[in-house]
Amino acid sequence: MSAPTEPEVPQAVTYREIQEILRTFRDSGWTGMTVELHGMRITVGKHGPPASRGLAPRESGISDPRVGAAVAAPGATPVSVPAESVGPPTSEGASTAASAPLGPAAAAPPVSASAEAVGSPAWGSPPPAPAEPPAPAGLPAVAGTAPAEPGVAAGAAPAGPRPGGAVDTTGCVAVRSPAVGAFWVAPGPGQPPFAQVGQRVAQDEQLAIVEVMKLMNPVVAPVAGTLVQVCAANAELVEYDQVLFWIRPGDE
Amino acid sequence: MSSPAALAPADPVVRPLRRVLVANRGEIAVRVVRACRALGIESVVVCSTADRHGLAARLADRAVCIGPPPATQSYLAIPSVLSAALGTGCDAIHPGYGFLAENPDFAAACVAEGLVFVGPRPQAVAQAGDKARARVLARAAGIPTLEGSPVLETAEQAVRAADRLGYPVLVKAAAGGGGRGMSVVEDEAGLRARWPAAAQEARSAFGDGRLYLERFIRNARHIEVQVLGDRHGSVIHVGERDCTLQRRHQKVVEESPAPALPEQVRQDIRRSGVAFAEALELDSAGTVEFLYDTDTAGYAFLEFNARIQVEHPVSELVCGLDLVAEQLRSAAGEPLRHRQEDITLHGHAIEVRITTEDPARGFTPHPGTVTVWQPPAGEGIRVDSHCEPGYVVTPYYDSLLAKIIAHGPDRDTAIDRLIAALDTLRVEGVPTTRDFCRAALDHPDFRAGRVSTDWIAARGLPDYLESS
Repeated sequence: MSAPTEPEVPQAVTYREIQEILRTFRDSGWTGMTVELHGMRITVGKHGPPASRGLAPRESGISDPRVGAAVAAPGATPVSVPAESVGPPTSEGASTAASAPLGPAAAAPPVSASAEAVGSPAWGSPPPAPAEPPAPAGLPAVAGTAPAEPGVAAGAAPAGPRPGGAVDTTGCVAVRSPAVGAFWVAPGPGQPPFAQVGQRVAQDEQLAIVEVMKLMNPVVAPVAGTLVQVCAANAELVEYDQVLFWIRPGDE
Repeated sequence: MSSPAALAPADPVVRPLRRVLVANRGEIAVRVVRACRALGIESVVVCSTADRHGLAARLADRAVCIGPPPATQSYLAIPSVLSAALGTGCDAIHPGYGFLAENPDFAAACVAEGLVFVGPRPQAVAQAGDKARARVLARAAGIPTLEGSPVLETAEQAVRAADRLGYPVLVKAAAGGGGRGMSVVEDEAGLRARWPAAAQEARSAFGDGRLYLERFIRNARHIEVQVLGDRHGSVIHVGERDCTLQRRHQKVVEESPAPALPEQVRQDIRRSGVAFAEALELDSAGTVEFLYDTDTAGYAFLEFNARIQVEHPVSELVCGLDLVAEQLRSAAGEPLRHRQEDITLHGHAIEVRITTEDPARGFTPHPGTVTVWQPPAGEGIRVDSHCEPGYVVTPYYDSLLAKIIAHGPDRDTAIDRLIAALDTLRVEGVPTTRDFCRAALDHPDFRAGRVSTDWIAARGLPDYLESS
């Protein structure tokens, strides 16, 4: 018989736990919520992730809500998680939810959440011990924000076009991922991104990288035009054929 | 029983799997997802764009699209599969059957990336996959093997080996298996003519042109033993299956236990199955295949499959275990929960494979859309399928629609139940092998257990085509 194993502090949150948190939040009257669970801080807000001390400015792009493992490096970009897709996921459904609305407007105002791993590293490697002591099992520390009163801001709105916010993509051309892998917006760590929203891009100009097991696949613009939306977050897993960008075609 | 010390340093700590990537599609992906659910394990299914909306993708906790429909760009693309597993935080990969299930490079790559491969250790996968090496291992373990040759370099060597064995002989690819890469030659002229073509075919199909010869048994039955192992040195069997009814070496009907077998032979085959698994230090589920010579009542080792097999349900219904769950448990480092004396076998189970092949047109598989799909149900009936109304059968993958399995207290009841179940199966939109399977089950030869591996070609199909 095997030795009895001690209950471990989980190093990552499961999809089911995240869905449960989002469901709980959605059914509550709150406009914002921060959950500390297993060494991870999860912040949920009805109008964008509420401002949280110590978080780095959020990058544009929304990641798949079903990412269970914490992927942000310490102090790095929190991963935004739109809550529309609470419910049975499909891979196609997820990408449209992630970059909603595309075409027809989304039904409900988006709930967005950000998950920051406290002290956990990026992308798939085992995390070191969490920087903060984890909350006791079963008793997540929850700081709720009271139901919104007029004038009380639930959280700072991010600068620039908000991913998942109402960006009109009619007439735009989708740029789809050539592979399943890690989405990188810049040529290397610390370097500026290949392209920003609002920028004019040429046909075949490189917009990003999708890395598949150390192999870098360039993502290039199929047409010349203006980049109107970035639909995936840096370092997140993107699927084959997933929409990464929308370009409004037009001559430079 | 091999001592635990003889194993590669096994991790004695049980590390329960939390999230498993299912690197397959169709009915086996559905099957693995179900086993994960039963164990409270999260499942992530990879899919091509053709399978995005399929049953497996919907049942899993998550589906990740990894490529376009062609398998080489999706299900067989090792970096894409690994990328999906690592990117979704999986701790293990279940390869199903086919695709990458017996690819030792894939098994090794999983381990190198810190992922648990739900299957045997990579070295065992490699050893089993080389059919010539597997024969050597069987022989060393004292298991009867078909008279055959080592790998042969030239047609001249082949002719000399064939003279020793006696014609007819089977020309087999060392890297083949699953019924592929074999051909019968009746005499020396046939062997000389066949040799270069066989090598070339093996090279293109398996990347390895090495060939060997085996004596060919005319009146053969295919008997295989389902074995289970763990990382702690235990190996058990859960009975044998009879998969004699085949067409072009692809199984059509499978059952457990094997009918009309002398009891001593049955026990010997089971014992040999366990002996091979122990020699291989098998630490997962596998199947040891044998040929039984009806004329001599002798049996011999054929090959070993280091994977869960298509026909595993017939064993499950007879032994009461969930074999995929057992694979997941072994992969987590758990010891087997049953000793051999704990295993009891009840009744009889039979399975037929329903595919979109048209028997009237040489079994050509037909792509198309399944417009009506009403699977059978009832006492003792089990259906393993990914099919549903609207399911699109594409030319990119195999043509299996469903496995229909019946269990009963005895063989005749199982046959009757399966025939009744096939009668209630409704499929429209594509042709199927349903009527053909039903006819085979109802044939007096099958009822009497008087069949051999060439029965379908020699008797079953001609009788069927004549009557329809």
